[in-house]
Amino acid sequence: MSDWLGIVVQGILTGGLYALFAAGLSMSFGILRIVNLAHGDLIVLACFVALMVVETLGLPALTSFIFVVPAMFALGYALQQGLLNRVIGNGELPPLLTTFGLSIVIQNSLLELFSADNRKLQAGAIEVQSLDLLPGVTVGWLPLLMFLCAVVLLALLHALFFRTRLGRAFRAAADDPRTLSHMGYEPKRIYALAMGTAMAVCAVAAVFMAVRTQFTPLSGPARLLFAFEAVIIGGMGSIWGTFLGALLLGVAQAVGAALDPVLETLAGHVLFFILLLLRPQGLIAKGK
Amino acid sequence: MSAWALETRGLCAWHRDLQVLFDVDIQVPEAAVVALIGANGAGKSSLLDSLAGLVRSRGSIALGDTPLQGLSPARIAQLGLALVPEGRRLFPSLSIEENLLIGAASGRSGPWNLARIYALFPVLAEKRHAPSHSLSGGQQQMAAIGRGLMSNPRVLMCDEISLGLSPAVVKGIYEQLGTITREGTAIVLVEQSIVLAMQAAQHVYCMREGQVVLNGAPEALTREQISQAYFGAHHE
Repeated sequence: MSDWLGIVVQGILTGGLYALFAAGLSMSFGILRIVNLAHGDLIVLACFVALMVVETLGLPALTSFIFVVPAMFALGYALQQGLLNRVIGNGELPPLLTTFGLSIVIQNSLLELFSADNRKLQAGAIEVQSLDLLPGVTVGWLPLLMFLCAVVLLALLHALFFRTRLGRAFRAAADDPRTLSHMGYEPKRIYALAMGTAMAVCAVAAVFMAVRTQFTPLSGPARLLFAFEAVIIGGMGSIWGTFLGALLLGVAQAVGAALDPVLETLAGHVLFFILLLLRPQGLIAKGK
Repeated sequence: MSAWALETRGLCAWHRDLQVLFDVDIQVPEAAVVALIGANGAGKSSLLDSLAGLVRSRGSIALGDTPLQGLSPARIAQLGLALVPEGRRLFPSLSIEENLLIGAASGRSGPWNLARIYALFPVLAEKRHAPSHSLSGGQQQMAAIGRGLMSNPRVLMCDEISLGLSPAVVKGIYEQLGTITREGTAIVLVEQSIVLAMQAAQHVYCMREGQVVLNGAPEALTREQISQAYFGAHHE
């Protein structure tokens, strides 16, 4: 019994990382109304930024946040202002094709610069340290830290959306950008701030991913898929729905892996498929 | 210094390639109500869209001494020209209070704040935490006017504020227009109902086919003049 409890707990902790992957994608859906097919590759790009920061400055891996988060915020802001704002508002296809192209450009640029070798950030002892959470249930400090960071970050995002002026503007821009412009806001600047925020969240996910697993320039699409599944399971545009979706995906993968290691990824896809059939609007649909 | 809160000269505007306004001249005095009347398709809402920077236009638009031509809708709103759009267009994801607060984004100082809006339309205070779609049409219109006022505009443009509302609700809203102008805000009113427009406004512009074809103080305009201006021919 405690074995299965341990597996579920491990799945929940892994779900924390998936929640970080998915939060930025959920913002793209919820505020910008675009499906960002380059999301996974942008996460991988942030992994390489973290790698360069660590190798260049000699910082401990987990302190690279200080540089990677603002760098990715700036990149997201510039990406939205310089590219995506030009293609939104003319239907769903132009941003879809643009982000698909961006995905290819990022992958190939990273391949050119860093080769296809596996990379990983070394975070030291925290990677192997663990604690006994419950009798018979041991968890690693790193997954626990990731999970707690995800909870804190999503709570901060929630506060940003519902307790600040900028958050009100984010939600209003999602509802009706034209009317928002009559309120004195430039909707495209609000979109750029939203994309910057989404990329800052991706940066946190990327540093944890780079410490937890090996990555290559081609690791992005799998992250996009996990993020996409978490968002769809939870409900598009809902932060806590995305969190719930990510946890369920993590648990499904952990249970699948316990049954047979080859079932790990498949179990998550099956859960996604079943929930898509039963509740296509997601578990926590965003109210209108 | 300009004598007018808002003035256009030779204003032409286009929706894509279709010209919808032809050399429109209007003047809006400070703290007055000016009504734009005319049949459907006369160009009233297109004129508001042009003033708000939403459509391509040529000619001069000035808010006091500040030229607005070529500015973005956001910049125009920041300078003090607010629009209450047709259909209210409240933000459905936001509560009524949040809808009002987002109207204050321009940061302009003036008499209007949440407390004053709630005093003007007390029902909004009761519904402050409700989502906008849960309000009646009249209450939504009050919220839309309140949102526009929260920017402390020099001129408030209201597009069809009586549309789809019961006479009692319309009466209640129109009764508050005087309170708004007493605080120094001018109002440009697009109104289908000639009776309402003539009662509320100090000056009326009648439009037809994208042009101003008649204007004057309501008491100076005869029924026959208005009918002729509306339809372009003599009507009984």
